[in-house]
Amino acid sequence: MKRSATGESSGPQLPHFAPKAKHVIFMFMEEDGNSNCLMKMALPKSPVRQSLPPSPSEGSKTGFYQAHGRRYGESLQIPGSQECQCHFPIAAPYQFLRRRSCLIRMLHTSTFNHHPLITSSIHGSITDSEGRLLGCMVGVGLRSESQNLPSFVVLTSGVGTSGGASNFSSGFLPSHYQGTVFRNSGDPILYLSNPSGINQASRSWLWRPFGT
Amino acid sequence: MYLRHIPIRWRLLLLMIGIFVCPMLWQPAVCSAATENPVDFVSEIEPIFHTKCYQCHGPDTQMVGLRLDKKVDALKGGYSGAVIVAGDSAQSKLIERVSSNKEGFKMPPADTLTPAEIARLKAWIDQGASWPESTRTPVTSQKPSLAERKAHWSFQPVHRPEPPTVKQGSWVQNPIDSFVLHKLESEGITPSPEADKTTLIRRVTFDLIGLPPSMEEVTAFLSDSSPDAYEKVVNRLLNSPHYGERWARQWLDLARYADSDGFEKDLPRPYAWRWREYVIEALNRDMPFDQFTIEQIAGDLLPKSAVDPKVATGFHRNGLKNREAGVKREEARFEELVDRTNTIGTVWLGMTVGCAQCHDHKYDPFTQKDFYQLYAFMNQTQDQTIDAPLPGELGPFLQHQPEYRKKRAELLAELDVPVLEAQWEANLRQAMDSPGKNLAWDYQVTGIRAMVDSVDLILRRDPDKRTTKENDGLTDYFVKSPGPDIEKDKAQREKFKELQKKLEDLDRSYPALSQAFVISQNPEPVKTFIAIRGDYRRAGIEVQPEIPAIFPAPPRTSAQPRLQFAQWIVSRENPLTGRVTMNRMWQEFFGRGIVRTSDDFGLQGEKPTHPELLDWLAVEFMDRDWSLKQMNKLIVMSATYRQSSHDRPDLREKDPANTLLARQNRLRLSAEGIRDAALFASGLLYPAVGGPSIRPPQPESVTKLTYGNAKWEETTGKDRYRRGLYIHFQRTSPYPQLANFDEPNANNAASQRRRSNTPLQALNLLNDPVFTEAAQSLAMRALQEAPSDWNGRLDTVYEFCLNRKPNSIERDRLARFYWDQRRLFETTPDAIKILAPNPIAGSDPVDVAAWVGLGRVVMNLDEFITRGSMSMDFRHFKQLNHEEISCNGVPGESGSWLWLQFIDRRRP
Repeated sequence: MKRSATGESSGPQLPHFAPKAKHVIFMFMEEDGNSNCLMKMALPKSPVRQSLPPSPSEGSKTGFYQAHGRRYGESLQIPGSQECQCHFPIAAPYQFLRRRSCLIRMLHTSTFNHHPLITSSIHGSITDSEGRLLGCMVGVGLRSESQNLPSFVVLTSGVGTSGGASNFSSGFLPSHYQGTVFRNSGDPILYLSNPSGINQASRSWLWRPFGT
Repeated sequence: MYLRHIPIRWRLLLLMIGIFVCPMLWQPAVCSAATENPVDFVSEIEPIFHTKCYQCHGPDTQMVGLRLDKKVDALKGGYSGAVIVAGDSAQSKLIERVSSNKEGFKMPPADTLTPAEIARLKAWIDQGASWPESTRTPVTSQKPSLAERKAHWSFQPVHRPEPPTVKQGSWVQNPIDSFVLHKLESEGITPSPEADKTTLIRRVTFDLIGLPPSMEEVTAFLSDSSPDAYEKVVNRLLNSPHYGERWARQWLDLARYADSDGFEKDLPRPYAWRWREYVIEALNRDMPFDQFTIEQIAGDLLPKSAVDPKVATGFHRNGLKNREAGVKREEARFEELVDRTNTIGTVWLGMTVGCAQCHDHKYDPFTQKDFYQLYAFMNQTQDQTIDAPLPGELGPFLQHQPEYRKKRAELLAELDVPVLEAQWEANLRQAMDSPGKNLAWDYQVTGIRAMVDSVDLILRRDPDKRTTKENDGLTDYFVKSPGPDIEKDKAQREKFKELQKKLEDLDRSYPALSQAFVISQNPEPVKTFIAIRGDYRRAGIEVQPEIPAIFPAPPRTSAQPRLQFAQWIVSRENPLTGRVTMNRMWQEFFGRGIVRTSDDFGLQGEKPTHPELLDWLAVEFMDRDWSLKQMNKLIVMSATYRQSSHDRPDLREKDPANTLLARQNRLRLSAEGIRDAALFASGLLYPAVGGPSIRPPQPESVTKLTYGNAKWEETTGKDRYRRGLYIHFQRTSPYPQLANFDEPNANNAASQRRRSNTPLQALNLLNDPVFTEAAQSLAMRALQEAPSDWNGRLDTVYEFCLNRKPNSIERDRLARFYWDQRRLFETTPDAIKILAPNPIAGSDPVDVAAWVGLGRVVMNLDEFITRGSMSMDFRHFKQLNHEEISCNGVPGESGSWLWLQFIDRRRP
C-alpha cells in the first residue's frame, strides 16, 4: 500500500468510516437463482413438479409460457436442509454457511426474462442504464488499501454470461472501479504477456535504460 | 424500537394484529360519526392537514402533485387521481393511505395520524367533505421554497454581460480573456505566458481534429513568423475533414451511441453508423447547433423533410434495446422512452430529469408531472427503419430493382409464400387481439414484436398501404420464423430454411441502400399518463406534452408538439441549452467545465467558476447563429487557451485544481485519441472519413464473455487502421483498449469522460498487438524516411511521436538502450523474424528489430498519450489533490503505472 504524504491519490482511497467488512464475495449463479443454487445442489434428480395453474397464462401476452408448463411443487422438500435464522432452507452440504454468511432476500421483480433478472440483481433495476453496479459500488463503499491492484475482480466459469461486460463495468464511475476479469483462457489478465517476438529478457531490457 | 429487531414470527403476529384489530377499532367510530356528529372542516379537519400534511402537500411542495391547502387542488387529487371521494371514505385514497400500516405506503411516513383523527377524516368525507371556500392557512416550510429553487442561477434568462476592464490589457486577445484575467487580478495572480509553438500546435491539433500534427505542419508553423501564423493553423484545422470526426465523438458519448442493442442478445446494429455519418457531416459543414438540435429531436416533422433530417432522429435510437422474446413490450417501450426523455434532459437541459421518473425531483423545481409531460413528446412516436442512401448508392440500386424484385418474387412463389404469409399475418393479428387463447401464437407475437419495430401498426395496415420495406421485412421474418403450423412439419421447415438462405444470397448479390434507424410520428394518438412511482403498470392522471412548468410556456402554434419543443429548446427563452452546450465545449479545451458538473446544472450541481464568462459565451454562441466552429475558434484564439501548462509553485496552495485558469491543463488523450496518435505516428492510419464500423484484433477471451451472438470478425485491409471513432462498439464486450482508457459504457448519456490511470492501461499500451504493430511500422517508417545516421533517425522517431527532438539525456539513454537491444537480438534470431518480418532491402534485420524495440519505448512514454508539454515536476504530486491529478490525467507518485517508469524524473 502506497499513499502519499497528504493521503491524496488518484485511485480508490480508504473510506471515511472504518469498514466492517473486508471483502465481499458475490457468487452469481446464472439460471439458478443465487439461493436456489444452495438448495438445488441436494435436489433429487426429478423434483416434484406440479402443472401450472391456468392463472399465470390466462390473458398473458408474454412468451415462454407453454400450454402445459410445470413448476416446482410447493411441497418440494430439500433433503437434509435446515432453515437458517432468516428461514432460508439450506441444503445439507452447505450447512456450514449458516453461521458464516448473511443471506438476504433481496430480489423482487416484475419480469421473468434472463437479462432483466440478471440486471436486477447486479444493477438493481431491470435495465443496465443506471450505472449503479454491485461490484463497483462495493469498491466505493469499502475502497481499497492498494493503489496498484484492482479492488474488484471478476472470475467467470464457462462462457457467455448474458450481458457480458456490462455486468462488471464501472457504470458512471471512473475505470478504477470496473471489474478486472481474471480470464479462464488466454492471458489471465488482458495483455499481460509479451507480444510475440518480445521475450521476457527483451522486456527487462526495455525497463532498464530509463531506470525506476 | 426498530421493526427489524423483532424476531420474524413476532413481526408476523404484529402484522396480523394490525390487520385484524385495526378495522375493529375504526369501524364503530365511523358509523357513529357519519350519522351523529357533523364534522366541522375549519376546527377539526384543517388542523390535521396543517400539522401532518402541508409539509409535503402544501403551498411550497406538492409531492405526487397533491396539494391539500387549497380546496380546488385538494379535490382534484394528485398524479394517481382523486384522493377524496366526497361521501365515500372507502373509495378515498386519502383514508387508505393514512390508515395503512405498510411502511412506505402509509401517510404521513412519520408522525402518523391517531385513530381518532382518522375517524374524524373518514366521517368528514362520508358526510360529503364540505369545505368552506374561504379557508386558507399560511404555512411555513423549512425546505427551500419553490420560488427559491426557481431563483437558481441556471434558470435565469441569459443576458450578455459586459467584459470587465482589466489592468493587464495587453494580454487580452478576446473577451474571454477579460473575464478570466479579471478574476485572476482580483486574486492577485498573473496568467502564464504563452506555450511554446511546438506545444501549441500539438495542443490545438489534438483539440480540433483529435490527431497529432505532422512533421511538416510543425515545421511550417515554426518557420512562419507572421503575426497570424497561429490563426492560419486554426483555420486549416477547422476546415479539416477530421474536425467532424473529433467532435462527433463528444456527441456520440452524449447520444449513448453503440453498434449493438445491449441486454442479453446484444444483437449488432448493422446500420447504426448511418446516424454517425450524419453527425460527422453536420459538424464538418458547421451546421448551426439549433438546426442540428431540431433535426435530431423532430427531423421527421420538418416540412419537406429530405433524407438527412430523418436520419438525424436516429439520435433516439441509440439507446439500449431489449430484444428478448419474452420481454413485455409495454415495459420495454416505457423504459426506452424514459431513457430518451432522460437523455434529452442531460444533453440539452443539463438536468437530471430522470430523478422525476418516480417522484418529484428532490432538489430541482421539476415535478413528476413535468417529467411525464416531456415524456409525452416522445411517446407520440414509433420506431422505423428507412432507406438512407449515401451519394452514389441510389443509381445502381434503382437500375437493378426490377430484376431483383422479379427474382425475389420467383423465389417466394416456390413455397407459396404470399398465400401462407397472409394466413400467418391473420393468425398474428388474432393473437394480438385476444392474447392468452393460443400460447404458441402468443409466443410468435412476442417474438416478432421484439424483432420488428412498430410491428403492430404495420400488421394492422392493409398490405397495399405498407411500404415495400415494411412488406419485405414481414416476409423476411415470416420465412425465418413461419409460425407453429409450418414449423411442426420438419420437411417444410427445412424448405423454409433453404429459402431463407436463398433470399439472403439474393440480397447480397444486388446493390443495396444504406439503412437508418429513425423515429417518426405515430399516426394513432397515444395518451400519456403519469406512471405512479415510475411503475408503467400504475397509470395516474393523463398529461399533455408541455415544457417544464418553471419556464414560461411558448405560444401555441399549429406545429406538432415535438417540433415546437425542439424549437423551444434552441430558443432564447430557454436559459439552459446555450450555457450547457458552451460549458461542454469549454470542458473539451480545458479538461474541466466552467460548471464542473457538466451534466447537472440543477441545485445539486456545482456553481460556475466564471458565471459571466459562461453567459457571455452562451449569448455569443446564439448571436453567431449557433456556430460551433466559430465558438471553437474563439476559445482556441484566446490567450487563456494558449497559456503554457507548466506547473506553477505559486498556485499549488492558492488554486490547486486550477479553477482560475492561470495556466493550461495537461490532459491525457481520450481512448480513441491514443489509438489515433499511435496509428498516425507510425504511418498506419487510414484516414478515410465516415462509413461502417470496423473490428480491430482483440483477444478471443473478450468475445467469449458475451452471450454468444457477438461474433468478432477482424477487419482486414486498410480499414483495420481507421480511427478509434469507427471501432465497432459491442455493448456487452466493448473493445478493451476503449474500455481501459475510460470510454463511457454507452448505456446513458455521458457528458464528460472520467480520466483514470490503471495498471491495465499500461499493459494495454505495452502488449496489445495493435500497438506492437504500430511500433513495427514506426521503425520501418523511420528507416525509410529518416537520414541514415543514428541520431537523425532518433530525431525523426521523436518528431513522429512527440513533435520534438530528444534532449541530450534522452538521446544518451536511448542510445544505450538501442545497443542493448541489438546485442539481445543478435542472440535471438527467432524474435527478429517476428518483429521484422519484411525487412527493407539492404537493411540489417537486427537494426530493424532494435528500432522496433526503441519505437515501443517512445510510444509508451506518458508524453505520447498526453496533450501538453512534459513540464510537471513529479516530486510535487503529493501536494496536488485528487481532482488535479484526475483532471490532468497524470499518474500520481504511487508508481502503479508502467509507463511512469519510463519517465526520467531527473530531466530538467
